[in-house]
Amino acid sequence: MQRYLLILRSEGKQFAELSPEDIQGILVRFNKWREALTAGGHKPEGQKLRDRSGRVMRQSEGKLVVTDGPYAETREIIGGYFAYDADSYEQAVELAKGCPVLPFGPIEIREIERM
Amino acid sequence: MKECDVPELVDHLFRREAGRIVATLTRIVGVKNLALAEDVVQEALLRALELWPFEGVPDNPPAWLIQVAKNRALDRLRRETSLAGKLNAMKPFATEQAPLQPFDDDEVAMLFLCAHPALTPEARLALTLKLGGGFGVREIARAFLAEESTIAQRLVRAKRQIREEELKFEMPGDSELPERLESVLSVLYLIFNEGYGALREDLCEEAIRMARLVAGHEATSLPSAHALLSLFLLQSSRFAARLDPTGALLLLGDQDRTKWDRTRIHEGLTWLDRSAAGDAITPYHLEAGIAAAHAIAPDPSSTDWVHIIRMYDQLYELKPSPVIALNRAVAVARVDGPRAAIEEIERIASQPSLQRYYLAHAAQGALWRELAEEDKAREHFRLALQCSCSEVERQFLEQRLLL
Repeated sequence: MQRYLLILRSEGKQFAELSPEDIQGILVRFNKWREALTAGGHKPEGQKLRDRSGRVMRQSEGKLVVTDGPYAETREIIGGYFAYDADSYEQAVELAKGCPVLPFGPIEIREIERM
Repeated sequence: MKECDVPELVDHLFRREAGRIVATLTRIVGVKNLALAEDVVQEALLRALELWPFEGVPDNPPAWLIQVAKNRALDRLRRETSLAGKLNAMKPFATEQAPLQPFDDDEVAMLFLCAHPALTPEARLALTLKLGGGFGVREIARAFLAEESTIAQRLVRAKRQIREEELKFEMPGDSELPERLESVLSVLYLIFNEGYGALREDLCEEAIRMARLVAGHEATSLPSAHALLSLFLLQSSRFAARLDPTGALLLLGDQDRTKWDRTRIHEGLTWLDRSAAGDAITPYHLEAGIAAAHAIAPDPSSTDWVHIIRMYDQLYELKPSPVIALNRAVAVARVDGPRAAIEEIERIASQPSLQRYYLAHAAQGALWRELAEEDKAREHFRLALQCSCSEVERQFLEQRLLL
């Protein structure tokens, strides 16, 4: 069993037009998705990441450069990370298909490597 | 992150809470800040969408939402430029008891504002669904088969009119109340009918929710409101029986009456009793009475058609419309036979509103079929198909042509 990290990104402008019913629908689907992961023994966990923030640090020629970003400009709704167990990338992708954030932005999946 | 103890969100919770919170905030910040109230409620809902997927649903979602909306409203008002404006704007919150709670009063006052007679009838409908019901622009457009941009413009104009004409967010005074209440009730009636015809239960349920508020509020708990709520409850009791397993429309006489919602019928009859308390008989009383006559009949043949015809006669006196005359004629068929009914319909059939009304032709088609006059029956079903109707109604008519 491997652990996979999902980074969820979605831009706020698509959300302005959502009706209360739409918003509730997404939340309900999110709950169902998470419950199904838990029930399947995938041990999901996740955190919201603050939007309009972030720092990128780079060291070049001995000088440290810290810039804002990478997403300083856009408001992200449902921006955050999830982690869960899966047998393979194939299964990790399959499980992520049920994530209701997909219509609104990309999901990046990385396998967490362990010794 | 909570794992298993996530409370289920009640169906339509956000829609309902949006309406309630906008109403309560509007009372506090004043109708001139209606746009602010709407904005912060949308922000609170989006905040829930940001956090709840990760943090889980809070124990008391409505309280969470109203708290976030209130904080956002305060933030916005603090950004007011002038100090005097700032102090004025903040004052209402200072006198508000904590924690902030929505009241039915606010929702009823909002319905009166949305259905204000100064607004156009179309604007009243759109506003009631948007502000009272928490519907989105797209959802309203779909309900009334209108373009989204048309509805959006209509809402913008109506809100501008509310601002410019300084329409009040309050319960009308006694002298105004009857006329203003009728305006509210007729908006709810149109929403329910739209939902009923289009098989949109969510619209009907919203109309029922709002009618309950009005009928239950001490200032508006009047016979006409009771009768309207009774009508809605009785009509909606048949939702589960209106379609057959293939999704095709079933006529009243063909429905499986065991699928009728007994609780709704009982509730509808109770409100009908209450509505008889005054002297006034409104069209809602008679329509509810007709619905009740169907609801209490164990089967089509034991329906009290004579009583129904009498109520249609009274209804026609109050609201002389060809559609009511048509419905009466259909009831006549059950007492005096199809030929008598056809004669009645033919007397009114030249009315333009009936010529374009699919049910006028469909009714004649069904009556001719009862008389085994197949050519005439088909001709009328074909005419019915040329009128505008919903998809499920169209399928129903096509099915009649195949029989």
